[in-house]
Amino acid sequence: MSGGMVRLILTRLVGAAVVLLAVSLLVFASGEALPGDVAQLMLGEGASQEAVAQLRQQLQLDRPAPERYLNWLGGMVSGDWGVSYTTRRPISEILPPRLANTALLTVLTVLVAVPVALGLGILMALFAGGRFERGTSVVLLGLSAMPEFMLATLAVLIFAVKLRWLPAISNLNITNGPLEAARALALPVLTLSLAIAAQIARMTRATLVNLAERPFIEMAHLKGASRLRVILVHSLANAVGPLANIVTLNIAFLISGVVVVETIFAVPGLAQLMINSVSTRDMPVIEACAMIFCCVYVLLLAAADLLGTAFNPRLRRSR
Amino acid sequence: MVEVKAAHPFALPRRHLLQAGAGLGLAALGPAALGRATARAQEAKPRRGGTLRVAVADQSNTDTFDPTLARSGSDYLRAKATYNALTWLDAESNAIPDLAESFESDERAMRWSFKLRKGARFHDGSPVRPADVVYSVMRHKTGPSLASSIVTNIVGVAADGPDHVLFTLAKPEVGFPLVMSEVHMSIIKEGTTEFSKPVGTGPFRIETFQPGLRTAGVRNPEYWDPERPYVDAFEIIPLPDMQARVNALLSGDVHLAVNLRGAGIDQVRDSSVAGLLTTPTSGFASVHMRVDMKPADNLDLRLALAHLMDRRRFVDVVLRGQAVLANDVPILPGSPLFNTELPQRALDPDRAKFHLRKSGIGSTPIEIYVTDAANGGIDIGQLLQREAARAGLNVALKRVPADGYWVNVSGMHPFTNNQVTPRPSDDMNIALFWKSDAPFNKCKFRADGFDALADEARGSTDPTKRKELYFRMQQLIHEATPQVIPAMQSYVDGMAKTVHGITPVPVGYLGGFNGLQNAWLSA
Repeated sequence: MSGGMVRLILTRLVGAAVVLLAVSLLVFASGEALPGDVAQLMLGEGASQEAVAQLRQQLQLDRPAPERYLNWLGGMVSGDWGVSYTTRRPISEILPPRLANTALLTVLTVLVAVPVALGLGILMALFAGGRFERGTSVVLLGLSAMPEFMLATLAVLIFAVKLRWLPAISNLNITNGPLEAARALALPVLTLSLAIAAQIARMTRATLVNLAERPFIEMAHLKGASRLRVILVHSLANAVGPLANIVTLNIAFLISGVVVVETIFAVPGLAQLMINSVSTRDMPVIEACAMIFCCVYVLLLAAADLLGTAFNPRLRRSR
Repeated sequence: MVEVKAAHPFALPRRHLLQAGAGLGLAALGPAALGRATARAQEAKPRRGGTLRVAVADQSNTDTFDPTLARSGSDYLRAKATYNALTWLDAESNAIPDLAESFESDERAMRWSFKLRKGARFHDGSPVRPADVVYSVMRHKTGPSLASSIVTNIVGVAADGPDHVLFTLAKPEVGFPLVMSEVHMSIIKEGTTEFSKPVGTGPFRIETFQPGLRTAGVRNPEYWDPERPYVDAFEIIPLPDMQARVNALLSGDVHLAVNLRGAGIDQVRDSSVAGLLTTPTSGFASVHMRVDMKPADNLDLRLALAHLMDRRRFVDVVLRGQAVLANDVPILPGSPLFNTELPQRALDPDRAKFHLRKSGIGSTPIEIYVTDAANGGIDIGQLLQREAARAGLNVALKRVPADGYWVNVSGMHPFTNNQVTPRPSDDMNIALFWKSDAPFNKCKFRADGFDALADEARGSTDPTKRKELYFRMQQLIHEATPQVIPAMQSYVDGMAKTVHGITPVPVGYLGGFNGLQNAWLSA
């Protein structure tokens, strides 16, 4: 790896840290902007003013906002993520099992969606202009235009309600064994995979087809290389940068889909925890979840940029 | 209705005085509203075994087994599975013995004595003693409690011998045993402060409790009722998305799915694997109007809105017929205390225009805050807006999120959506929502003599007198019209055809939140 590349990575990481700092401010500010306070919500509408004031003091909500922000940020950085307002349990204890479920869901989706999508994109580029390519294009365009909640509902209607092959809910219960867990995860993974695979496949096809007009591809054809060889060897080698970029960006997009899918299938993941916490104004939990999501998002975007650059010698050298 | 049923031999002799609502009420609602559940309950002999799975609508990290903090429907369902209260309700809303074998009062209904059930034990094997009851009730008086407003009438609770508990009341209350049926009045062990592994006397022992995720329990083999529960185990799963609940029911992943609305009702009704369990109640969604705030302080404007409400369309289209037309008073039409002499209000543009002219509101727009937090709340607003435009009244709807609505918006503006969940007795409803000092009288409704009527009715042992007093109260509410109440809404649940034994009890879903111990599964 060249010195330029190392410098590039460092610049990116510093940039990501600055973005995350700004994000932390936004997350905290939007928590402050939510109407109503946690003390009132926890005690219900019949609660006396004294009880509310007492609870506010207990939770240190009576302190000025900048002071609370700095305390929270300091704790976050030093690994002390605070205690949930509503359950009084440390966040470092609440998050890991939820994070593990969400990670399982996301990783499985990536493992299923990315190879399928890339393969499909390559096939479409190979048969560009043909009936297969046009038919697939229409289907993929339809799928990528469909929001996750609709895909999820359709998948449930077909596979759970009509065919009864798979469960409609994925309340992951470890005691039920790996087979049950796999069955439970099938529909959420399918939904998320459809959503991102459609995008990746279409963009892969577009990238490869664009390359087909370039002189070095024409040259390869003139030299007598087969269509398959041209695509797999000549085009693909040049498309790795943009493709890595596309795949990473789509994985980042996956995060919004996870929120929807966890809600519909009742997957006990991080997104579901966050939604629950919003309705009870459990700020420390909301903030921790938001920061994790933003971290992943920002890091994936940085990775997309770096991969795009790393596989493009011209960009790499110009730095 | 007067005879004492064999199943509840210790029922209160004066039980017919109490709110004996639904017997007459259900008949008036017609067979459609009754649901299949009632008929099915009488079918075959209950079969033992199986795990009953329930999808509930609310999901929260604040899910609890602490009776003082029970807030959501699923908290109620969990509590009924684990604990007993001193009394319970039958399908006609009469108080029947539960953890108390029997109960009686003095002549004035000021002192109530409950005899504890012989042989009833907590899950850890210890017997139930009067001290446990005293502790359970006093927690509402001494600590933070969501039910502090319903124990205000209790001034004393004490052990009276080894198996009796004596309650002393501030004011006479003939319906006191109904108050003791409330979920918040569940009996816990003296000294309990920790509820993550709850110990009750109820039909199930809790095995797993993950707030916001899952609650699972197994049959309590030592339960004082040798018959129940019929199922070996139960599991409660939150599915906040209604379509997801319907799908889980239709795919067979759950046996029961609560709180169905709109298209979900149609889907389950038309299904071959599940049906509807409908529970008519005196719960409602409404527009409440601050009688002390401009422009809602204008009686003619309030009456105009009452006559602009297309109640029929709200019931038929929005609620899919799972409701009863209401008349802006909080009593269930068809129940004995419902005032039948008041003219039923309906959409009447001419009357509305008359009141609008008298009100002098002119073209000044009025704002109604509407929300999803009230079932059908937004629809009520839209129906009003539509008819108001035709009558020349300018209604603007402010749609606000359900999140935080009850604390931040409800009752804070002249016109806001309201929702009232059913209570075991009309007396409780009046005391909580309508008296001038009621904690949830957000309209600031007051009328000369109303509080005195309410107090007298609460302590009156003469059914004719009670009815007369209730008629007067409803007349006062109807005249002042502090709320537009278009319909009394039913709870609508989806129930797989393999589930039997759950009968509607008009305080909550799934048999008044108590269906888990009565349900049995056919093969």
